[in-house]
Amino acid sequence: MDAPITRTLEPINTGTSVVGITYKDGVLIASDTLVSYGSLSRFRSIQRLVSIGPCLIGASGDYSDFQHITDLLTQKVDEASFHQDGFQYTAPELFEYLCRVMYERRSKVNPYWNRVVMAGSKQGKPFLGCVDLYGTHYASPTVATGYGEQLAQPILRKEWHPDMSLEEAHALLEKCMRVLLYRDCYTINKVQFARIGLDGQTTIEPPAPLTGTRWEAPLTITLP
Amino acid sequence: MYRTAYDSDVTIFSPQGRLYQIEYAMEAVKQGAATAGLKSNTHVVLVAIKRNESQQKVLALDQQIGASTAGLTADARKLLDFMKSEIMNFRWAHESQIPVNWLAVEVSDKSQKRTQHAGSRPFGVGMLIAGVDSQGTHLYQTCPSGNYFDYYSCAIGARSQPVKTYLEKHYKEFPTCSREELIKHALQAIKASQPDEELDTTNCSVGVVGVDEQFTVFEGERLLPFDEATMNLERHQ
Amino acid sequence: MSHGLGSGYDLSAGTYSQDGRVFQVEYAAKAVENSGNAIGIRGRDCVVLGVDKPRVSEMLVRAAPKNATLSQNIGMTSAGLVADCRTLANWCREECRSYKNQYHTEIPVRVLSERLSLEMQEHTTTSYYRPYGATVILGGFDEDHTKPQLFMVEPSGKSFGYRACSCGMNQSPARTELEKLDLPNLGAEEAVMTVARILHQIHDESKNLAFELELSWACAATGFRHVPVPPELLARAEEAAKRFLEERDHA
Repeated sequence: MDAPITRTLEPINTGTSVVGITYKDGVLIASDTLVSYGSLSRFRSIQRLVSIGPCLIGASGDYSDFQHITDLLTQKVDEASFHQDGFQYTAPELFEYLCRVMYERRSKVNPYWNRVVMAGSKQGKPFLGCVDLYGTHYASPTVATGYGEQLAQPILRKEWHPDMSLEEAHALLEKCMRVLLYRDCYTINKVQFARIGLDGQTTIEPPAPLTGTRWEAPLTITLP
Repeated sequence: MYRTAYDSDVTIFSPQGRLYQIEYAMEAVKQGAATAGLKSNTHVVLVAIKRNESQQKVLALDQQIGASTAGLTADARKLLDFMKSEIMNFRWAHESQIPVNWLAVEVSDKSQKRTQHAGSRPFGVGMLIAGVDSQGTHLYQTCPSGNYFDYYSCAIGARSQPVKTYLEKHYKEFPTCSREELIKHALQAIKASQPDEELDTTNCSVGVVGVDEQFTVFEGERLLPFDEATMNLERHQ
Repeated sequence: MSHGLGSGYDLSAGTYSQDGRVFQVEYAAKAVENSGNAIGIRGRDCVVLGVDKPRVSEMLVRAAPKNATLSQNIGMTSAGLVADCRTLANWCREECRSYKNQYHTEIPVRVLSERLSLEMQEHTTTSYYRPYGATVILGGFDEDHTKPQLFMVEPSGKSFGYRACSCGMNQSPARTELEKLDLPNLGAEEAVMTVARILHQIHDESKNLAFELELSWACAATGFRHVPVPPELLARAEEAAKRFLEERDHA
């Protein structure tokens, strides 16, 4: 008898949380550089934040699916430039496209096993959106995927305000990454920040270890 | 008229490298009632002569895209249908309006396919596509051959030569024209194709789209507000 | 009923004439000779493609683009029926895309030219299709960026690699000019100037109507990507070309 048809039943090489917030002049997102193989910290220096045309994307979940999504979007942006008419996709347009792709795949019961964060600008204002493997999508000034959704999102919602400076935004995301480093089993202390300005200018910072974490046994810490 | 042995199918090149069937299809466009288009920096106006009051010569296709046609009416419907589905596909995928240039290219690519294999004839329709997108105002003309052109203003269809002459005389003023001035030019231009007949509410149709204005078709009574502006629009009794 | 060259044997690409010719292919080549000119040259670490486009009306904003980018590093220009050229560009793009999807590297220009030639040849064998009325010049770089590549594919499906090539109405005078060039030592900017000059030069000879030039290139300065020549350089090249013609007429 023929075996039943099966699709991807679980992700293989996975990345953990991506967090992002809008600030006064753009959007800042952050993630660590780990791609785990199950619970093994297998690839420790993988960049999971990518700049594509008018936007910046990052994802948690299956890394190979994310690579494929990156290819899809790059192709889309390249094809638009073939027309030579000056038209370029805006970040929300690409985001909507990605949402359709994710939903189509889930409807085939063969999803891209990711939760993707997309950042850019929309009519002169910061744009930050998020879509998961079911195709559920929303735009929000604060976004967190994976464990970040449980651990970082409450902090972001509490401390975010619309006219944050880049420094404030940076400090807030660092705080979240620190919380995640303490509590998420599948992360490492090597994180990367990337931002996209309202003019579409993208800056991907080199990965660096988080500072300010403390690992002494609690009893030895002298409280101030 | 039997001009040559090489004109019976679109797959036959003449010894001079011409495709007569395409050229004949272009003739079909010239049989259709005239239509003209012109654009300023902020608006695009289409205007068309209707031989029949109920005929749809100018159509809105999306929020800021519209088209007018000349040639075989049924072929035009087929192409317009195709354009509508292209527009909806783009909206579905991106939640926004397709760039006007892309639409012109899509239509042209579809027309080209009909010129390449035996068993079908080219579309006998020419089209003016007017629209506004992130790149500004646009006016495109598409042909049965699969060619398309990016115009400031142009005219196609029966007796469109005098219309073109009018447009060529005035097109340098168009970029800075107001919406009303542009409509006035459009009506005066198309009137040139009707030397013996006045324009009235039953025999013409106007489409307007602007940077802050959706594509709207004006027909029948709705043309009357332009009356004063043009002084040549007669109310049909 | 037939009184053409082929006496009835020239009405279909699926028919040989009695002396073994396929007339429809030759007639398709005529369509290319009726159109504007396209030139491609391979200089020192660069490829430059150029084409002249008739200005059909003074009310035209701009003529539709004819130089097409097919994938990052490969471009094409063409002569012949404009709509056929565009269709071939789309066909090539699809081929580049599927190659890249399979191998995750850019398609080598030679491979693309071979596949394109098969597609065009296919259209010369049946009466269902007509041959493409277009000649295509493919230019660009392979993934390794080592050597500029230039190929030309004709309606018959003939495909060759070239150091410089031309097609269209004034193909021969263009070739005469191209043969004078010191191609291996031609820098990118110099190559742009040269293509603009030759296109103006051969156009002048046929005393045609108004036209506009479209030039594109791939070289170190563009990161080996195929892109349109920047407007500033294009303007400079056209100016130099016109000056060259004036001086020649004076002399």
